[in-house]
Amino acid sequence: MRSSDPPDAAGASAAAVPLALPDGPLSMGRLVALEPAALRQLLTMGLRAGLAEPDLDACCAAAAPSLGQAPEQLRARLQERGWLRWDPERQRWRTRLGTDRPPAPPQA
Amino acid sequence: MTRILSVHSFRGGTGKSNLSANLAAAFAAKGLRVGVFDTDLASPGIHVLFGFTAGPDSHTLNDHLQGSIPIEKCSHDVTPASLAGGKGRIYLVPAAMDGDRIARLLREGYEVERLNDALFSLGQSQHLDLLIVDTHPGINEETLLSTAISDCLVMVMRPDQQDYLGTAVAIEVAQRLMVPEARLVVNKLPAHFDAEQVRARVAQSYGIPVGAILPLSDDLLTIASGSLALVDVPSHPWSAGVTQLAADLADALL
Ligand SMILES: Nc1ncnc2c1ncn2[C@@H]1O[C@H](COP(=O)(O)OP(=O)(O)O)[C@@H](O)[C@H]1O
Ligand SMILES: [Mg+2]
Repeated sequence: MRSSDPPDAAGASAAAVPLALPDGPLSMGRLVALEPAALRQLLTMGLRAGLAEPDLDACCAAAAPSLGQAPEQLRARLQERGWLRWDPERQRWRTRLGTDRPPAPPQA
Repeated sequence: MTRILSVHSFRGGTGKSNLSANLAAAFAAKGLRVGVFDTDLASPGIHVLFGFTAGPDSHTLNDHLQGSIPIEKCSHDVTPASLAGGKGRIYLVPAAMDGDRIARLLREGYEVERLNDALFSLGQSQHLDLLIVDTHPGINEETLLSTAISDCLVMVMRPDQQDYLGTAVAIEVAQRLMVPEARLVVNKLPAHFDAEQVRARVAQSYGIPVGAILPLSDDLLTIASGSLALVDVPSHPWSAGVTQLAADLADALL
């Protein structure tokens, strides 16, 4: 970013070249390398106590723009990949590591 | 909620297990309920400091990670006799010591997720104030996890060039994982080093608070991990340094 760029132009160029969300299960090695920082923060909070609904909304809102997605889209992607799941016991969204995913829907 | 303290180093032999066990004793002496997890599954050892020997029926962390034994059954009260009169307690979750079990764990692996759940679950069921995670050196899936979930990371290093470089790497990783608190502990400082100079140098290089500068000690070598320095020789400079570190950590975390 050139210092002469107005801030909104910088925002637009970040959205034009969105960071990719990798496919496949989440590992710690993968988590530590993830960008943007807001996404790492979301998943780290999910590993600890877990995220309440408003925390998840706030984290998705912060992380989504640099991924070129709407916050609801990001939230859906994280669940599809099995990285995030609702823990009914703790009543929190929690980060899920490894290959254990929700069963895939039957192929049509 | 139980606070998690991970004791880590980039290289082995820095004194993580000795520090973890003695910190546990210092917290218990303050009346706290402490859990200690030996997550150094490839080269376990902290149980020795507590004088704990696994009997044929005593369960270890391996039985939980690779089996179906509840984590509560893998935890053992190892509170030293001299502290047992107080409110403080130490619960140790040791790692398996027989070669076959260690080999099986390395061969088959386990889901690090189970380790995460085990920490939270024991913290809750035993009403622990603090959980100390003694780690394997270096960076791998387990140490990344224990770093990510810790409320405070204690990085242990020797005054050694390899340790200096490796510690920088581990701290950078901890920063990426947004660990809320971190302390640097320099252990095994030779007597002819100037402790204040070392403190200033590491504080400046790493930008995280220095928790303690602990001397290289013949007495610790003599104890040879056979017991807790804090219990045996509480006024020794090494023990005094650990006690002060525990007070600082308790202030920051509890
Ligand atoms: N300050 C010290 N002075 C002398 N020896 C020490 C000191 N700290 C630890 N040791 C010794 O160093 C060895 C490694 O310590 P340990 O706690 O097992 O390290 P780690 O868990 O990091 O591998 C042990 O023999 C221990 O007695
Ligand atoms: Mg050790």
